[in-house]
Amino acid sequence: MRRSHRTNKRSLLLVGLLAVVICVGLLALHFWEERQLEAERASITDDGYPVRQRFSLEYGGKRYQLREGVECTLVMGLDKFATEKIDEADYVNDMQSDFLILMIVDEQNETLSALHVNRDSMAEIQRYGLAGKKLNSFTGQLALSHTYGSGGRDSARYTCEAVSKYLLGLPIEHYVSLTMDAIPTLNDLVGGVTVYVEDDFSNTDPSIKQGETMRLEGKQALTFIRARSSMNDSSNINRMARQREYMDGLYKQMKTQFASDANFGLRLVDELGDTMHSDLSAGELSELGKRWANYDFKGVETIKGEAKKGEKFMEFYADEDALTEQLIRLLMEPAD
Amino acid sequence: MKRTVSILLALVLVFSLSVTAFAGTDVIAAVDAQGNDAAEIVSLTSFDDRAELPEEDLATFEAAVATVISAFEAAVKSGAIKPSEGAVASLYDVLYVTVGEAEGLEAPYKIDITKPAGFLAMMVYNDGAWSVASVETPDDAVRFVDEASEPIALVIQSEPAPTPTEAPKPVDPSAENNDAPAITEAVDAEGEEADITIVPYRDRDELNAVNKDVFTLAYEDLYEGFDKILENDEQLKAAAGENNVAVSDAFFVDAADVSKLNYPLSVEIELAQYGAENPDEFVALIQCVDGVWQFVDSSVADGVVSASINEIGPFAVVVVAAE
Repeated sequence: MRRSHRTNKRSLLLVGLLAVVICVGLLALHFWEERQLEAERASITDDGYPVRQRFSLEYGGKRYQLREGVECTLVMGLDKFATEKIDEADYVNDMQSDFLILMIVDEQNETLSALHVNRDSMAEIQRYGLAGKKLNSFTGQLALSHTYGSGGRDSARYTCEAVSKYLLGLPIEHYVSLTMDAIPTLNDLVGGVTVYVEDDFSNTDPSIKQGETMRLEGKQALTFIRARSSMNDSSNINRMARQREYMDGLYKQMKTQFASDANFGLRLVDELGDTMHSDLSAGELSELGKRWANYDFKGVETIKGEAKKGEKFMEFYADEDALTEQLIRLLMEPAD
Repeated sequence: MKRTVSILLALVLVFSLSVTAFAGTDVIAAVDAQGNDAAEIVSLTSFDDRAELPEEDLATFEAAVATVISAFEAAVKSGAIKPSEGAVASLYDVLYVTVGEAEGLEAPYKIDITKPAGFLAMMVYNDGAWSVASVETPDDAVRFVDEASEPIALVIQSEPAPTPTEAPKPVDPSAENNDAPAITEAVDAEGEEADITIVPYRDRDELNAVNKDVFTLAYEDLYEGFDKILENDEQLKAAAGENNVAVSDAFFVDAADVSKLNYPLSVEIELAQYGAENPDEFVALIQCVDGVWQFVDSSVADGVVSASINEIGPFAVVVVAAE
């Protein structure tokens, strides 16, 4: 009896010690992850983005500054699958940022709006050589900015840098980049997204029926937002219209999920796995998602401008006056 | 508690076995000078797993990989490695043979390793140099005699690969980024067209395993130590002048059949940004020869670099950096 009691006590002690070691290990890992992300965020701020306080726009003889509590996160969709190996030492890659949407969060007014940026927007693109050394820049489609670097975090930062410059120097605080296989996962996790199918998908996916309102499942979601060259209207403008419709539907579904499932955010981040990169940690992404779902969504806007066929490829040129006005309306207030 | 520990140990054992089962070229058998089984003290390490080697062995392995291409080319040209009529010899794999010690076993050891399809020859690296090894090929094995740990390289022969034709690009109105230099002309010492191609770093998986290993090693040196390379090469330093310089491209110049290359080759390489807006200013072409990056005499006009080269292998373009 005594021996058994001693054995039980020893076992409990061992289990207790193991639990403490695991907890300490997890805490250490958490703090290490936070420190890594802090370092990355510090370098994002220092490495090409203007600091918030310095950003201002002049319009109609007045100067405007960013409203307090406004923060921007760039969500980019890449045109490749996550199975493509990423070597951090690579200096170029073939992943273009085909989908660019700037999520504008106003923490004070608790609103969320989105600015859909055309991937064919002609912008200043920075070239990078080995080990991230800056070379000359050129004017090219925004989508190309992601092709410098390894295809991982460095390429995402280069994209943020290019979009920031394109948006007149607007600071971008965070990014989330998603590969193509994230879309079916995301779509099914929220229970499918309902859209009205205006275009003819018969050459691409006959299961997506023109003229019908249908709930997209799995790969249908990817086809719906991605298809371009096989469509009757192969312009990116047309594709962007479908993407906006999908985003509206996705937002509604995510709002429902966040409201009904306290763990949805973490589950989402876990399921997306390697199909997603971000400067935010899993916990922060989950919290961000929860906040976004509770805020008043003002909808997705596009930038006014003109799309035309360049020498070889499509080119979009923003109306700079209209863009200035738009940014002021979405993000700014008169400076003192 | 005892049951939990047993389950954990069993899991560890299964995991270890499965990792071992999926290793590359294997040691099939090994016997010592007296015919005693010595398989337990002989192992093979691939280039990808080289970090597992002790520091001294790692240094030897990397030095061997850095020089294997020139040694292979020399062996093919001298006839020391001679493929059959119409076949092409190529490097298949480079490995590190580790021979340990055990009581009761004595060198030299007769070692059998897996024979790759089309096996032609084996090279060994000893005292800082490669040489063609004497081997036997019983059944599916390559058998050689070894006294101590050393790198080996396996050579195979195969039918010449057909010249690849470019797949038609899908019609897509999206922009494309094509940051890779291209060979526009290559002529050998006898005025004949030289069959060489450029493989950019991002496409290095297309190279044979050994060329990829050589390229990987050279690239690592370039990535981590370009400042030192610049400092140590007087010609490169002179070409850079007061400018801040950087590497804009790294690529491997490969050949279908090295035995057909009569060096030196006169090559013209169109730079990646030829015709592009605001191209980077060309400073120099450099090449990694036997593990050392060095300046290549060249000239540039209208975005095309003209140079004379004496070996296939890793190359890089140095340009003026933006900051």
